Amino acid sequence: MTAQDLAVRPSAVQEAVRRQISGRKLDIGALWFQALLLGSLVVALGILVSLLADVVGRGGTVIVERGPGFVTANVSSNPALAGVGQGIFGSLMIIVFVILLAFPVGIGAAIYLEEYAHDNTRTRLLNATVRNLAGVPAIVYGLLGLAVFVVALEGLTGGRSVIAGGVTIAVLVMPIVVITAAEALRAVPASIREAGFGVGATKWQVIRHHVLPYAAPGILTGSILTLSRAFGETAPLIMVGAVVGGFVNRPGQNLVDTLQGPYTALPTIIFNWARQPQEEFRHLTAAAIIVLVAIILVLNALAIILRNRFERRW
Amino acid sequence: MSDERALTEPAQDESEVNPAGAGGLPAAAIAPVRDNRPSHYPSRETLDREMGAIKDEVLRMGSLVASQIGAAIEALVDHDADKATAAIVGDGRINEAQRHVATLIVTAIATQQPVARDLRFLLALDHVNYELERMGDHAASVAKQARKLAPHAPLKQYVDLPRMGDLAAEQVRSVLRALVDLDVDAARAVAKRDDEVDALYHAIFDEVLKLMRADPNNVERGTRILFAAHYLERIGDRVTNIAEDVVFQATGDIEDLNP
Amino acid sequence: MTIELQPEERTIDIRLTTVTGSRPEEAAAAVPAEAVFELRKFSAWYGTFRAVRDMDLDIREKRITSIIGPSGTGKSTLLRAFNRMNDLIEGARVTGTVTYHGVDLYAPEVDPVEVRRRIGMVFQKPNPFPKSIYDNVAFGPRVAGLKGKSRLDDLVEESLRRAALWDEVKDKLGSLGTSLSGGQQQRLCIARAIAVSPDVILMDEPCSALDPVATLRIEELMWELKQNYTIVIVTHNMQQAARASDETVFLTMGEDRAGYLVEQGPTAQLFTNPQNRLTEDYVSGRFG
Repeated sequence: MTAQDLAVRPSAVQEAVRRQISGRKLDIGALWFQALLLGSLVVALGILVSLLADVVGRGGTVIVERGPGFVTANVSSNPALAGVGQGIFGSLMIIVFVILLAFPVGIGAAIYLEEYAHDNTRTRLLNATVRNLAGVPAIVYGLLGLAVFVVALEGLTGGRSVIAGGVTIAVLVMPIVVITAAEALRAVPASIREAGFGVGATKWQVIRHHVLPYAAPGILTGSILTLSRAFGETAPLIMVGAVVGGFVNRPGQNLVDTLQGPYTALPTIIFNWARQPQEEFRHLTAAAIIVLVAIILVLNALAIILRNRFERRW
Repeated sequence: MSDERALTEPAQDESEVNPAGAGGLPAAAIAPVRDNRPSHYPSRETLDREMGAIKDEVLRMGSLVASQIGAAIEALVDHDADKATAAIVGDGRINEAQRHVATLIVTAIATQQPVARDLRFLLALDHVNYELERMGDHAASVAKQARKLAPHAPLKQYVDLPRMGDLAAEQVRSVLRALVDLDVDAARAVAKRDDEVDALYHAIFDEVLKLMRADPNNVERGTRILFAAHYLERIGDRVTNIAEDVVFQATGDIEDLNP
Repeated sequence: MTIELQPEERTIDIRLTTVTGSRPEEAAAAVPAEAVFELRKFSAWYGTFRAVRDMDLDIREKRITSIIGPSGTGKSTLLRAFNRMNDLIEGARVTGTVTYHGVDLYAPEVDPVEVRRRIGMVFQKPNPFPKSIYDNVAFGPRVAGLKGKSRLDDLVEESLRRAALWDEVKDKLGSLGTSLSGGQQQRLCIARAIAVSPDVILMDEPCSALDPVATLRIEELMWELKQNYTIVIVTHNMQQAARASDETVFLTMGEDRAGYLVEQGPTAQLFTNPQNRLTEDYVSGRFG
């Protein structure tokens, strides 16, 4: 039999095989599941998009009309003049505190917990405690900040100042920094560490030359995401006294006085404007929200860009 | 004595051979071991090293066998019982060598796991090893006959026996060269030359038979001479077996080279 | 013992095609070697679990010693005990003695970091640092205190040459170590281990992640390396142990799930005529 014969008269075996392997069966269950998942995505995105659309709709005109002036102007009771400039400045100051306090301490703690601590009950307790702290509601940190940084340490911080606010937020995000840094460190493959030890490096040399560089992208990404979270924290700041007014800038005042004086932050400005009865303030609130969201988006984008750059190097 | 005996110096490498010295042939006439694998055949260093060592040992053993044949013939022709005894005892070294080569081969197979061409060649070397040991036994058997003949007067002018012995020894050397170089033409030539060995055997057979028919007193001596010739002829046959191995290794064909 | 021929017996031209001493143990038997490691009643524990039981073992210098045996018999544990890598594992401890050139490796005053400089290690899966080839090799010497670019350059080149990798990477020393093929990565790891001038190189199944060609190249490399280093290799691959090592150590698991030493001896002997029935079953592939 030639191949042609076989093509003209397919054997019974061929027919059976063809029937078995051809055609796709309809998996109804899988289709339903897929539809359900897609639906969930649509709903989640839909809520988000509609919220943003509402905000943009309400605040867009303000931004368009007033342009950069809105961003730089000071707080004022006159809606036509009010801007978010001081709020941005205050939030940036708070970010500085977070960077100076939460990151070094948080990353250091993560290194200790992951690299140096022995795996015993005490360490596990420490880890659990850090995780619990990360879950504590932000307002509780506000209360803590009020009691400790505003009242008890008034001499150092100047009471209701951006120092107290910054430190409070720093304490709030520190557990998150510890957790993300610890995750990044744990992701370093054991083989890299072993290779380092194998050529006679000390523990610190292995950490410094191999573990940290390898974990750096992860730590960096986690840190920037933490920053964008810190940027938007409102409740604690209200507790520790970010007023609607702004930084006081008297002539002859130096930086320390400014830092120890009254202050405000972007989220608190939004909060306060939202409580104003005037119609114009609703627009201003929406405009401020747009600014806040934009800043957070920029920070997240920065995180992604940096992570990609570092990952390509490996 | 044949001129092959003059090859007394081993050539460690060409540069060491002194053309003018020690009765050796000039360097050009001494063919080195030819590595006739195609040039693109990659090397497997350890296995190649071990196979090289085994080939060396087999060559040495062959050398020993060839010289044993010579020693046995010499003892026979000279009617020298002491020489014969020395040759008989010398066979012990061949047996020892055979055990040594066998160990080397087993070790190489066990530890290097050769397959295909390498494995077949090692098995061929093992076969050759066995044949050489049997040839050594044959040579010792010739020496035993020589010892028995020694006290008596020579039966005849020994002409063909020494020729046969020399030829057999030369055949041993040639076939081993052909084996190590996997030279099919040389192997076939060796197998062809076994006809000469056979012819010499028949000539001795006829001549001794005539002598034995002529006088009953010749029977004992004649019989012993016939035995000696027979052992030499067996050596020739074993050489042909090795030649067939060479052809099989090189071509994959089984040829009967000794019809 | 090769056959000795009298001058009149040398009738076939013999060009010596081999180096002297065809089998390593022949050369070895001629030159008795001193022991680099001596283990006496050595046991290794993880917490309360004994992984290796009462081992008496000698590792001789400038030889390749392979450690074979079924899974779970503590081969890797034993290997890592030689350079105190087990110290990195929580709960790991040892009893009995391990001496290195006569010195107790686990004495309190011994610094594990120094130990690991002298006893290097190559791991199962090639694990070059995610750095340049140059930095991979230079890391060890650098943390050991070597300074000076030209000295480092020389050392890097020498190490890569000894690992039979120089020719392939000399033009791309700045490229990532992880960009090399598997076999090259493993040779890079060998170069990295050599760079700190160790005395011993431990290899934990170095070829199990490599293809056969790369594997044979590493085995040939080991043969060259043993002129200067003592090599101990753990391998699952019996054929590799047979091909590449001078001495073989066979471990198996006892009732208490601890590994113990069954037989130690020249490789050729272990694979042609082992003394112990368990050894013979294992190397023949007749597992109980």
